[in-house]
Amino acid sequence: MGEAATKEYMAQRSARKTRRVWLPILLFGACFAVLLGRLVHIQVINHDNYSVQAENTLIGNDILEAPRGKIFDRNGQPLVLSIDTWDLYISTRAWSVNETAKQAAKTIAHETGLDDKKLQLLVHESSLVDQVVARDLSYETGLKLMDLAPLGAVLLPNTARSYPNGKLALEILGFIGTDNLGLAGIEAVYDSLLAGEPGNFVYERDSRGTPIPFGIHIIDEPAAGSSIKLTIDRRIQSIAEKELARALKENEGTGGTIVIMDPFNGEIFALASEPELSAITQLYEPGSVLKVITAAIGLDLEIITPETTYFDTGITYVHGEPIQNWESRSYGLTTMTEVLQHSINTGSVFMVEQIGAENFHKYLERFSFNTATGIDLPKEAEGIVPTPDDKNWSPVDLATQSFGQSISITPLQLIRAFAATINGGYLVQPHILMSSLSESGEQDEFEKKQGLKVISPETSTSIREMLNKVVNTYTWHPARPRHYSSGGKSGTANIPAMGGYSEDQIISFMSFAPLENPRVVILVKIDRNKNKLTGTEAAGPVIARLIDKTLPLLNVPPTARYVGVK
Amino acid sequence: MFRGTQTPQEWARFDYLLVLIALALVAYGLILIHSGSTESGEGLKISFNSPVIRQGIFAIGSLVAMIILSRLDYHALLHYAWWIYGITIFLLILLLIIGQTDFGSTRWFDLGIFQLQPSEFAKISLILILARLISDRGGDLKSLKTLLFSLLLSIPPLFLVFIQPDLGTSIIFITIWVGLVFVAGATRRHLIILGAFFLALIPFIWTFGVEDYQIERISVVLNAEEDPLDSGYNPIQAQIAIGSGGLFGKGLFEGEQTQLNFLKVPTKDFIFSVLGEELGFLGAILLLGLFLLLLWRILRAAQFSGDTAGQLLAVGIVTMILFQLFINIAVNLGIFPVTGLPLPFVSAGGSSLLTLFISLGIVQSVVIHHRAYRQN
Repeated sequence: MGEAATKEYMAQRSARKTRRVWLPILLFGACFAVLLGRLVHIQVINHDNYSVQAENTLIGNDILEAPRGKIFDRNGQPLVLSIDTWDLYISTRAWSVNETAKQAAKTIAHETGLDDKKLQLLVHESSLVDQVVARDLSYETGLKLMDLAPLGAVLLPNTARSYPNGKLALEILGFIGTDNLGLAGIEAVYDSLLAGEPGNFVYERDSRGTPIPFGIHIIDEPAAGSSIKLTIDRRIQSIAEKELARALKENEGTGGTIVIMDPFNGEIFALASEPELSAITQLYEPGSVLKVITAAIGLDLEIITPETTYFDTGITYVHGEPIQNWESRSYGLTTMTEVLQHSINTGSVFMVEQIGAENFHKYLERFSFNTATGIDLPKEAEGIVPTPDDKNWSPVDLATQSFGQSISITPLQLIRAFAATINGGYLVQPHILMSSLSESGEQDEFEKKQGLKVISPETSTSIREMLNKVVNTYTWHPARPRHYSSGGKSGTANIPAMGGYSEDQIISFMSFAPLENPRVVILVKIDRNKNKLTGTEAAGPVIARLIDKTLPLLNVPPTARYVGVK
Repeated sequence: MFRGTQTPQEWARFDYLLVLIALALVAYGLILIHSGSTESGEGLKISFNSPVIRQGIFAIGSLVAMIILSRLDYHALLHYAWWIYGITIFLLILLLIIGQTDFGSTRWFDLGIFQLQPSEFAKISLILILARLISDRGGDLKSLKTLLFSLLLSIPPLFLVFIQPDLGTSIIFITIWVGLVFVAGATRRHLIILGAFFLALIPFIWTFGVEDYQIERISVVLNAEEDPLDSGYNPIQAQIAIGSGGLFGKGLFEGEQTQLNFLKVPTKDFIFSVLGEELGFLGAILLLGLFLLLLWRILRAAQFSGDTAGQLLAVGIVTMILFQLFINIAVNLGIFPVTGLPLPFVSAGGSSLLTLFISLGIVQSVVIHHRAYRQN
């Protein structure tokens, strides 16, 4: 640095007197104004809002799951229990440091069997403060993890469902999701009863999510859910499930249903179906079992008596359309009881022609075939009963409806209507829930309503007697129980296909027992049995076994001595 | 005049108020760094690892550098402006080759006890070279050729810093150039043309020059809640901290957002949030007030200046300081993308502090030496 350099600049002209030196002040002033405005906005105007947010990031708020209510059968035997488990949460902030996360993930992986890499990824990608990584860890695993205390891990109590009877009645019981919400079956329908009220665990924490010792600490205890008692008898349910499986196997059926119900109050003793809950969700044409309803309508209208006769030629014409008997048999002079005994199609057409369309459909409506039963299970379907008002109605439909075709109903709708024909004439409410018992001891019984009167008690008595004759048609009848008097009717119906009927059939038998003071109504239905046996041949023996096995469990003394030969 | 000694009159012209304001800001910073770097209730640790002690040492060193520079005639610096400029460009290129990569960006030379950030010094060297150029070309920028040349000189450091990548510092380079050519009297027509040209360029820069993370940060300003734990985390936590501070703040060392580590880099880029949370609106007003005083003192120097170069140096320096301030606070308030610019004099950081005090040294030199030239 020399004199020359300095001299050079000494020769510089003096600064321009320009106002532009002060112009930046305008710009700076504008910037200051913007910042100041923003400061006032967030620090003064929105201060409260930000204060709340600051509190929220500082307060941990974890849900304490309520113990879910237990489910018992009608005799107080457990169907679903709740066991204590742990949910494992990881504070995502605590795992933001790779090394510590790795170590903690390894510890957790070792105890729980989870994959430590996946665990780290899950927590890393989570946008939550606490990420749940495992639910319903066993009680012991949870205690062990508490001892090891891997960084960032928080264990919160939960309960898991346990099924002491294995898969028994699972389609009825349903299941719950990981969030403890009932997703199917009884668990879904009575979720609000079973769930209880979850509690809260509120605590102050640092930025890693770890609770601050001696910080605010509030526990809002969860309220346990109510326990419920079902109308299901687990022994009868077990028998029904086994018999269904056996029937499907022996007859090579693709599906089927067994429903056992108390005919007087609608309590379901057992319900087994394949596919699950098809007893209430699947419509089908019931076939000849519906002749019982047709006969009941005729009797109630006093148009026929069990002894009324007509002449059967094996074929009858309805508006020019021929309607034939099973295997084209003809029976000559026939009573109404014999129509049921031999399941004669022309006989039920004779009945319905006497009854007339208007009366017939008035009664079908009373039997509630076009409305769902309202059973306490999800997704119930309601029947489709075409009437003369419908666009596609053909007069032939009335004839075919009399023996259970051109009408689609669920097995449960059928058995409810059947119960009405033999219980003195009133419609019952099928149901699964018997009572609930809250944690505080409050008991709540299922509300029983007097059902709608459908037919007279006298008609009902006649039907019982006629159906008893059905199972005594021959010296030996497949559906006749060994130890109990009973009555019943078979059904064999081809499955409707485009415009006509396919070769596949649905066979069924429905029955009640004992003859006096029936305790059960039972429906056995088998879909698409490949061996092509009829309802009597395939479902009849199942009915007989079910009655013989079920009634002793309901403390019904034997009412008949087995006299047949086999 | 330039003989390495100063007369008593020169010391009398030394702007003590300017230094006092700067030291007040540094002291303010030390308190906030202490709050941001320690667990609440902890005392000061006397260790070189303590950010407060380090910042204090840097401040003393920087103060010495300022005093030395104020003794130097700024014309000497202008004389060597080309050399300084050249060395800066060389260092920036060298940095790209052997520099320290941290948080995905190469900004420092690791010199053991501290990290040297050449882009900080590049700001001063850009101010020097532009002042030199404009003053060489007759003191104003009426000619388009000179204007374009000044732009040409700004581009290499701008580009080298931009690819580090350090968007914030690049923006400072641009503001320095704009501030200088404006004050130097570039015609309105030229400024409009260049402005239009730059606007036309933006789509291309957006497509080819800006990294995904930068776009992400910009979109986060528009909607911070969109990604609350990743790019949006810091702006959200900063706003919560400042907003929850309210009018009077929660008290020093009492801010939960700060003390419980919700705020990241609370001694550097987000130190304003510490201030906002713990000392509130009044604390922020105090800080802005100090900067307004600083602005006044430096612009006073620009008015005093005996020549174009001195005037431009002062304007360049005040632009550099204030825009860093504006951008830093704007980031904290969630109205500007996260850029990584420190709060001048307040944020912890040796290179930044040293640069700032060197700039003040140059301003002092302008104040001290102005009268001599007027007399000539």
